[in-house]
Amino acid sequence: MISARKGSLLDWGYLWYQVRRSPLMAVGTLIILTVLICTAFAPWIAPHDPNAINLIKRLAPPSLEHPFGTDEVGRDLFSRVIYGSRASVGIGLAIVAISMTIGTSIGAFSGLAGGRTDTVIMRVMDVLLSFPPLVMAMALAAALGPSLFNAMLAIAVVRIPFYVRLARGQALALRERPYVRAAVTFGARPLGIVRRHILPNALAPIIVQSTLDIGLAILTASALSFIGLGAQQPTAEWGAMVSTGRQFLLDQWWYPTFPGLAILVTASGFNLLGDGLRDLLDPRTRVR
Amino acid sequence: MEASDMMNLSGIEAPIQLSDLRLEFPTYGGAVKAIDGVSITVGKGEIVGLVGESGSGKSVTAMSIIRLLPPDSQRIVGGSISVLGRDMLQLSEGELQSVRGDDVAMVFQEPMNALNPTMRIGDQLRQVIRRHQKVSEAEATARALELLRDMRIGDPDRVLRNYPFELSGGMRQRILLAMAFSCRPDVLIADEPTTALDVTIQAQVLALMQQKARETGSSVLFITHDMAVVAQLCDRVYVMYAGQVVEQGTTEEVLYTPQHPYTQALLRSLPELAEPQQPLPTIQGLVPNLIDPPAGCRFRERCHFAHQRCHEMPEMLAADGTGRAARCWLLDPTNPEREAALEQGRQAQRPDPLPRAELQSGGTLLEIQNLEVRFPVGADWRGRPKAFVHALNGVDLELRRGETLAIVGESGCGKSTLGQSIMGLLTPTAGKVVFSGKDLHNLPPQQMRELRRRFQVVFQDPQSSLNPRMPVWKAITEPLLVAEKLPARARRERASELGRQVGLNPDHLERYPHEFSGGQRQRIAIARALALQPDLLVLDEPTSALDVSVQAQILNLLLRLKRELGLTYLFITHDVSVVRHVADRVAVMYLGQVVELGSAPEIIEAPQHPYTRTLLRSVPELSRRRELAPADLQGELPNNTRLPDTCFFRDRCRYAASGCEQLQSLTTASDGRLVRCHRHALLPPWSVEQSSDASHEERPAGSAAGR
Repeated sequence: MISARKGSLLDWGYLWYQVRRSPLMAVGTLIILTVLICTAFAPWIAPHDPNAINLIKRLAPPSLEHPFGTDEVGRDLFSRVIYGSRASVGIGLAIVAISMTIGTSIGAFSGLAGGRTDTVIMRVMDVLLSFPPLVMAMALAAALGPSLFNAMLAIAVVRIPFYVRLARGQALALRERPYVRAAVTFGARPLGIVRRHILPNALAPIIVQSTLDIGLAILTASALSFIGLGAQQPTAEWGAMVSTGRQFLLDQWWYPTFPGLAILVTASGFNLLGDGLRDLLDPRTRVR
Repeated sequence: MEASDMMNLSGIEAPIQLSDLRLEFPTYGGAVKAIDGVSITVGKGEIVGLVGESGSGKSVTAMSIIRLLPPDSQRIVGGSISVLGRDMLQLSEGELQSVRGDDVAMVFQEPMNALNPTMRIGDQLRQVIRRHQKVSEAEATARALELLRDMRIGDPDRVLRNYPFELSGGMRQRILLAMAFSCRPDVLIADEPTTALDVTIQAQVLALMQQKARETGSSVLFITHDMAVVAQLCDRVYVMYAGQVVEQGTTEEVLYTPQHPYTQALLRSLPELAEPQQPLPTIQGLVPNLIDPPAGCRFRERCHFAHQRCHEMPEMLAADGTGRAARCWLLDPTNPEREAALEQGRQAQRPDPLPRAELQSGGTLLEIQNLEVRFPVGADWRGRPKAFVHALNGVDLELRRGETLAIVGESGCGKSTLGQSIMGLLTPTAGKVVFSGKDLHNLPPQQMRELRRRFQVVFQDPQSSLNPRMPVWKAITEPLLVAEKLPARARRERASELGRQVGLNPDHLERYPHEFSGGQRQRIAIARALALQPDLLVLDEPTSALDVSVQAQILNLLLRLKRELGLTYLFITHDVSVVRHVADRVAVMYLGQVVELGSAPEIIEAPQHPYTRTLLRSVPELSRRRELAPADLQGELPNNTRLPDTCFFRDRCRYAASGCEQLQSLTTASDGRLVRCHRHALLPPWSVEQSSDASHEERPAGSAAGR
């Protein structure tokens, strides 16, 4: 058995203590776990094939057999929402992974280099930031051609400047730390300093930001799918489902409502987790 | 029996009365018993000191008196707090607010945090005045001006229009004092109000506070870690240790004949009273964990006098008929083990004196030639700097192999800039740093990296000088990884060797920095500096962030390492008593220049430059209680973006005369020291007491002599 150090995340008593201190984070974590289980085990959880068309049962209201009802070609909405988590959450994670990796590297480099390099990089980022993010993502996605993959790339590019700024700020603050200056005094090179001192210490706020971003990325991806630039038929994706279900809202309320709720709950889940992580990783609130 | 009880007998209730207060902070590991049975009385018009090291509970005690601690983070589990006859534990938040400010004022350590940075000083003062008194805006302004004048602020009209960031730390603290006294409070609680200030400013602020408190008859509870400040200011003292008061009495009693072994040990560990360059007596062990403190006396495990009886918690026992008392069984005359314990303690606490080391001053290790550093400020439309901060203005120093040279001065004097230039962290604007024959700032990068191994640095704050996410063995041996590319196994071995050398348990080196105490972290930082076997250590305020008992351990370690390894130290500090203890030679800096340079005992026993005199006179001393003298140093440090073209110290100098309007150069005095003052031979002989060389008598005579 792993001996859990007191105050580490392997200490169950400590975890329970944190849950009591911040129940909202626990709720967020539960939501995320549920969603992730849906993503991983969709074929076992979903009662029906998400793409099986059954025109006889089209637009059926929620029932025991179809808990969320069916859509205009009789596909089971419950199964589609579960399978949709793969597209939506997968794309959210992928977007954040891409933009975080690229953005953090550029930012840490820029902050440590300083001077003209830093100025040039940051002005480019300012230009990227000066477009409204959704408009920018739409333009990129339209230029690349409508598909889920291109939507993902577009949103990732739009999110990069936020990580650049965050990582640069961290690098600027950290390079003044005495332990970084001490490393300079015994002759450490910039790359070693970034690897040993800057990145490990800059990571906490970046992880928090990325958690908060996953919710946002899911929303943006859904928005792109909603206007037809993301997931294409017959892929189950929450934004696309809301988009097509919109015209049925008045008579068949369940069609757009359940995918919409899935977006809402998942995005809030990631936000609650991110807020909680921010408190948890803040050394001032940590228990010693 | 206790002082507090005696106060009550006199019939008048004391303005502050804590009895048997118990307060806890609930945490995951259990409740931290931060205050455990503290009784404190502050009588009318008294200035009472509350001293202790960090974590002793002194600030928590002060904050709880006016219920300033957030209610959900702590709980009061027993005892009572009475302020001016009101039971503070029963008042509502609204009632508490009217007590704070109207009757009780508080001054904190960090003056910047207590002022609103976006409001002019005048608006803030008026706001405070009008909140508590029904006066018109104009009357409030008049009152504010009067308050500032009371605080000896030179140009109160201008200060009222200033924003906090435009003022110096000492000025801000005086404004906070003005605010605190604006409503003529009956009680003032001051939590380390001068700790962030320079000694000359501290002397001014303390004097003003004392004077103002005496005028208004306020009772003052003064929280500090500095015994010497207590000696100057306070009538009575409480000493706290691990959440309890361990000793109380008048200042003389507690400081000169301490009864509790902790108080005795604490006072003995001060470098001020010790033989220079000899090991200081230290307190063994660590402060106990307050979640689960040991049964019996809290100091037992660190005490040389500990005996069987100490497993039982002692009461505050009165020493003799007076108000003094200590929480120690040694004060119980009926204690059968007392004599044996006293003998045992006497035997144990003598550190072996070291043979006086002959200063083997070898050749020159480091030479600083006419070093200048300036920093650009702002930029105009062409991108050129608007002004320059002149941090160093021509420093010449020579460091000989094997000596300890102390650089002493107040904030803004350039001592840290000097240290950074020597470490190659800053490129000087002009001048040279020559380390064993090589010009440091004109070397190709590869040779620079080679040379760097021979001088290393230890910073002030042990917390931030270690990477929190790096295990300690890696931190200690990072230089070896960088400079010698040693494999991990070899580094691990070297880490335990270095750890042992600085007194760390080699088994603990897998841990992370936050698992160590402040003193241990400083040991880690020293071990890292020693990893490459350097010749020179630049010590940038290495003990300023530490408690005195820990400071003693670190100073002992540094002295021992110097003997064992033949190191050379450049010791940057603001603390004169530390200089006296460790230094062979001293350079006193003022406004980016060395104003006096010579052997440490000579300069400290008989300073010659007027600034050195002022500095030494401002240092609070434990051994001698004297009246606080507020007006020794006039004015503020000159703005170092526009250097004066006269003697830098002229405007503040009490001996200024003709000839002082020229720039001064370092001249050799009769005893071989260097002094940057053309009149140094004409000045009256040094005396700590200000009255013996009063300025008004001296001025005319001086100007005649200076022609």
